[in-house]
Amino acid sequence: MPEAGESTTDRRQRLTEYLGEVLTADDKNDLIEIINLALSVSPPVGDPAVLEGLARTYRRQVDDIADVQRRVRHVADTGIPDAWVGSTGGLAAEVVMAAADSADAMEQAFEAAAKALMHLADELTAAQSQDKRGREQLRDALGMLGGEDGFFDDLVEKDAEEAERLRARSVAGNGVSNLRSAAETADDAARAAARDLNKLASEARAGQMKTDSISAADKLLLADTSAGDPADDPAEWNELLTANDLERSGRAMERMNARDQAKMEEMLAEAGSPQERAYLMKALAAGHDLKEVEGFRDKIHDKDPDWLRRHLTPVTTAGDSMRDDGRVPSGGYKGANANSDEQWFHDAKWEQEGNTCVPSSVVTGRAMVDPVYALGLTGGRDGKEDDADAFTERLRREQLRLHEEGDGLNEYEFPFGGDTPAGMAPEGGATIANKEISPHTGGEYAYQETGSANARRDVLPDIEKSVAEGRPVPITLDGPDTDEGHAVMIIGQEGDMLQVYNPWGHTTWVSEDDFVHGRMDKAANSTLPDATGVHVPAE
Amino acid sequence: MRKALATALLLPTAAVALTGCGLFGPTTYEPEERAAIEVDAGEEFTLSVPANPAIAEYWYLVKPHPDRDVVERVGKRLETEPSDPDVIGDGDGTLYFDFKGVRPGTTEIKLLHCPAVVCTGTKDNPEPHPTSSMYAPVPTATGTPGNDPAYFIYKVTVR
Repeated sequence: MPEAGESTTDRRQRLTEYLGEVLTADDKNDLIEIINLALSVSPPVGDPAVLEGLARTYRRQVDDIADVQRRVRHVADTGIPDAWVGSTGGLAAEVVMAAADSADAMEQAFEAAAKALMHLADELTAAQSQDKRGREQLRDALGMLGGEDGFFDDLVEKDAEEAERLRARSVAGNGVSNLRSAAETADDAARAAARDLNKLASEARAGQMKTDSISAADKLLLADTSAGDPADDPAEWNELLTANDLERSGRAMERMNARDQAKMEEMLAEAGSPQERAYLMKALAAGHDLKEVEGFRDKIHDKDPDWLRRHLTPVTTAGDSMRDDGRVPSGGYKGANANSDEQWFHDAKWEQEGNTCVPSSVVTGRAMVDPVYALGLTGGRDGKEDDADAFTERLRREQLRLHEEGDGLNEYEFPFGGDTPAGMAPEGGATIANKEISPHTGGEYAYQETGSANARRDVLPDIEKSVAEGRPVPITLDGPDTDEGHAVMIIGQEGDMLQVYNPWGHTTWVSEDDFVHGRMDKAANSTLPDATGVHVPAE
Repeated sequence: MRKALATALLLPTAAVALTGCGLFGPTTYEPEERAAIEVDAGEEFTLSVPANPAIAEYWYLVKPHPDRDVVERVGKRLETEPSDPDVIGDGDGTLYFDFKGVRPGTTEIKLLHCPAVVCTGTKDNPEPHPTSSMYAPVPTATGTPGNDPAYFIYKVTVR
C-alpha cells in the first residue's frame, strides 16, 4: 500500500536507498524485507490517456489561433493611420502591433502546452511500463526466495541455497533499479511539465490585469511593452511589466475611487511613450499611492525610452546571453560562465561595495520591482540626475543602510580604517528581503536551507513560479573550499535555464541541473558551487 | 550592529606578519610602496596586494614582464582569512607575488588589478584583460586599489 503523502522526491530517494541495500543484502530474510519495502513504494501516478487528450485539445486550437495571428499580423505589417484608441491613449498602430505579438505568443503558448502535455504523457507511459516490469522482477525474486527462514533455517545456508539467493538478489536488483529509473523519469517529466505550464500561465499576460478601468486594447499594449534596447535585448526577455505587476496594478486600479481612477487614466493618456505608461503602472503595482505615482510621473514625463530604461530598469537581458562561451579559466572568476551581461548605469555597475553581497542583492532586487525606488538611486531626489558617480555614491549608501537594517556584521579596519561591513546572517537577509522587496511584490520570504540535491530539486518549482511571475528569489552560494558564502538572486527562467543576478554586477544563465547538482560556480566562481539556501517567496 | 572583535584583535598580529620588517621571511611591499623598491641580488621579496574573495578581486602579472636578468619570478600565493561560516559574504584575502633579485639593474613589474570584473586572456588577446569593453585600464598612481581595473607598476632596483 503506498504511503500517504509520499512525494516524488521521497519515492526516488527511498528506491535509491533500497537499491543499495538489495545489492549488499547477504541474508535471505533481509532481502525479502527490502523487496517488500521496494514494492510498497507507489508506482508513478497519472493517466497518460487523459494527458494525451488534453494535449490534442490544445493542438486543435493552434490552427484557429494561427489564422487570427496571420490576419492581425497582416494588419500590423500593412500599417494603419495614426488614431487614438483605448481609454488611456494607446495609438491604434501600437495596439495592433501588440495584438499581433500577443497572437504570436498565444500560438506559441498553445503549441508549447500541447508539446509539454504530450511529452509528459509519453514519459509517464514509459515510466509506468518500466515500473510494472520492475515489480514483476521483484515478485519473481520473492518466488525464488520462498518463505522467510526460521531461526534454525537461518543458521546454515547450503551452497545451492546461497546460489539461489544470489540469483534472486540479482533479479531483485534489476527490479529495484527499474522502479527507481521509472520514479526518476516520472518525477523529472512532471517537474518539467509543471515548470513549462506555470511559465506559460504567467505569460498569458494581458489577462492578468483584471480591471475595467483599462481597455482591452490598453491591456494588450501594456503587457507587450519591453524595457530593453530593441537593438540588443529581445522583447520577450525584457517585458517591462511582469505577470505580478499586471495583476497588482489591475487590482490597485480597482481599489481606487472614481476620482483617482480618472486621474490615473489621465496620466496614462498623457504619457509620452508606451514605456512611460508601463512604468506608471509598474509604480502602481509596486504599491505606491496615486500621489506618489503623480510625483514619479512628473520626474519621468516625456523622457525617451533609453533614459527610462537606464534610470528605471537595473537589469536587461541581451539576446546572446544564453550562448555557451565556456568558463573563465583562471583568476577571481575562475569557473564562471565566460558569457555574462554586466549591468550598467552609464559606466557604473549595479554592484556591491565591499562585503555587502546580501544587502546589495536586495537593493538591486527592489530596484527591479519598484521603479520609484530605482529612480531615487539613479536620478537622485529630484529624479533629474544622470551621473554615474552620484549614482554609485547613492547605491553604496543604500547598501550600507540595508546592511544595518539586516543587523550585518562589521569589523574594524586596523589601525584607523573604521568599521566596514563583514557579511550578514541568513536571518538578516530574510529581514531585509521582507522589508524591502515583499511590500512591492506581495510575497513574504521564508529562508529554507537547501544543502542536498533533493532539497534543491524540491524547491525549484517554487523558485520558477516566483521568478516567472516577477518576484526575485535571493539564494546563498557556498562550497567546500570556502567559509564565507555569497548571496545572489534568481531573477528569470526560460525553459530549463535560470537567470542569476550576482551583485558583482552581472547576470548569467545556469541550468536547473547546474542548480540541483552543485554547478552554481557558473554564476560566481569555483569556490561557490552549491546553492545552500533559498529565500522562497510565499503566495 | 555587531562587530567581529576576534578579527579586530587578530589584525595587529597579522599586520606585523605581513608588512615588510623581514622578521618572518622575504621583505613584503604594499602597493603604496611600489615607486622605489630596492633589494639585493639573490634576495627574495614579495609584492602583497589585497584580494578579497567576497568581491572576486584578483591581480594578474601582465606584459611587459620584468627583465629576467634583473628579477626572477618565484611564485604566487593566495591566502584568505577564515570567516564565520554562519555569515554570508564576509571575506578577506591577500595575494602574494614572490620574486628574487638576480643581478644589479632596474626593471618594472606590471600588475593588473581586477575588482569584481572578469579579467582573462582570450584567443585574440592571451594577455589577461577585462573582457568587458567598458573598461580600459590605465596605470594608476593611487596607493589604494579602487573599484575599476587599473595597472599598478612597481619599479624595482637590484643592488
